[in-house]
Amino acid sequence: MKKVIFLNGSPKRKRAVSEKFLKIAEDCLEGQIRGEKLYIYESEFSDGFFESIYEADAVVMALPLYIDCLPARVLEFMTESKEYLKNRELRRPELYFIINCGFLEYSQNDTAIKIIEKYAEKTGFDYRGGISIGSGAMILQSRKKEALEKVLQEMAQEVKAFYDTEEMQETTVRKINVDMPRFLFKAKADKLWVEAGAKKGLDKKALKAKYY
Amino acid sequence: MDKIKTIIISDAHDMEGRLVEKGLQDIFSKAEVTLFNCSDLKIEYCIGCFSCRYKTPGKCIHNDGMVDILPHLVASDVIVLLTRMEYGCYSPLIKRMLDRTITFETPFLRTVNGETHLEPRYPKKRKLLTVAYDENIDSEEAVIFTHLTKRNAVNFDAEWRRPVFINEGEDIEKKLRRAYGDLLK
Repeated sequence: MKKVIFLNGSPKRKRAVSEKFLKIAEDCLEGQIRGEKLYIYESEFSDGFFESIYEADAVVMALPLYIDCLPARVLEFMTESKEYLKNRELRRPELYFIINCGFLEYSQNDTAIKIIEKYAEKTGFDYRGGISIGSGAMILQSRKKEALEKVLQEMAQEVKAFYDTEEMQETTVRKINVDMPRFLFKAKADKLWVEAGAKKGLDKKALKAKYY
Repeated sequence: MDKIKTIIISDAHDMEGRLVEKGLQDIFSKAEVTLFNCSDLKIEYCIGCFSCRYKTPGKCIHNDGMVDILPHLVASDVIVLLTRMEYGCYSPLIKRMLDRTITFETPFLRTVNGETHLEPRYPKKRKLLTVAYDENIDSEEAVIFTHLTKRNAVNFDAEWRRPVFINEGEDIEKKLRRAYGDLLK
């Protein structure tokens, strides 16, 4: 049975939408792999932490897009990996990602995906691609929820058995979002913030106020 | 260029970084420069609570080194980020600071270059220059970083300038002087 690490890279940890995406992938694989969940934002980067990761057969990392790339502590994890790997033999676990951005366009994740790929190349991972999600949490309340579950299940099947098939497989990045016109997405997203502000007694003008 | 408000935010904490930081200070000697070195400041991680969006607009829940940086960032005409290159990205120290600049934007969306982006909270014509250093920056990292900084310029509502890449042992002054000339255009 493969050992798989599910790595949550969101600052929101268990409350994150990344956690929900990871859970769908985890549930698909229940009883078929040995899984372990780790949280980058609540872990010390000890030798034990890195041993868990590098002893695994595969790592599935879920994270949000932050300022056009990876959240700071995920980068810290990546740079600390380099230190851990000095003078150690590499096992090359497979690396899969689930990245989501709150903007409509999943293409906004492309630079971050390149960074993950470069990280994999430099720190002994077997980069296997993943899922690029646009429109963030909104997708879970949309008609595309089932389509998202399907791509997460497809990726989970690859995690379980990528090297078990006879044929050579491509590294895949699956892309998905709510698939709605930009003006509608913008109107829906803006409305959510107006409602959130109203609950705190703040109108739209107050939400746009300058603090400095 | 003289007396143009310039903020330099640096992660330099070793000899290599400090040399580039010193080079930047020299090049910008005629501007009104405020330098922040993130390795001297306590900066907490953004925890994604979004308080700065809908509870206390523009104000973060953390009371730390960013309280010093943000007013200068808002007032700046030129933003210079000095960072060690990590996989085509910023160093974790600079990224920790950048993650906290979401207070720089309102929660509302606008369209830029055919994509949804957040509206700037402090619109102003700024310029963004990034300087990345490492022992040996490979060409793929340089391409990734170039794309990343172009995207960041949108967040800062700034005019993008081509990043400067400095490998160990290179002529720092020559590279920075060329970038400074580009900034004046």
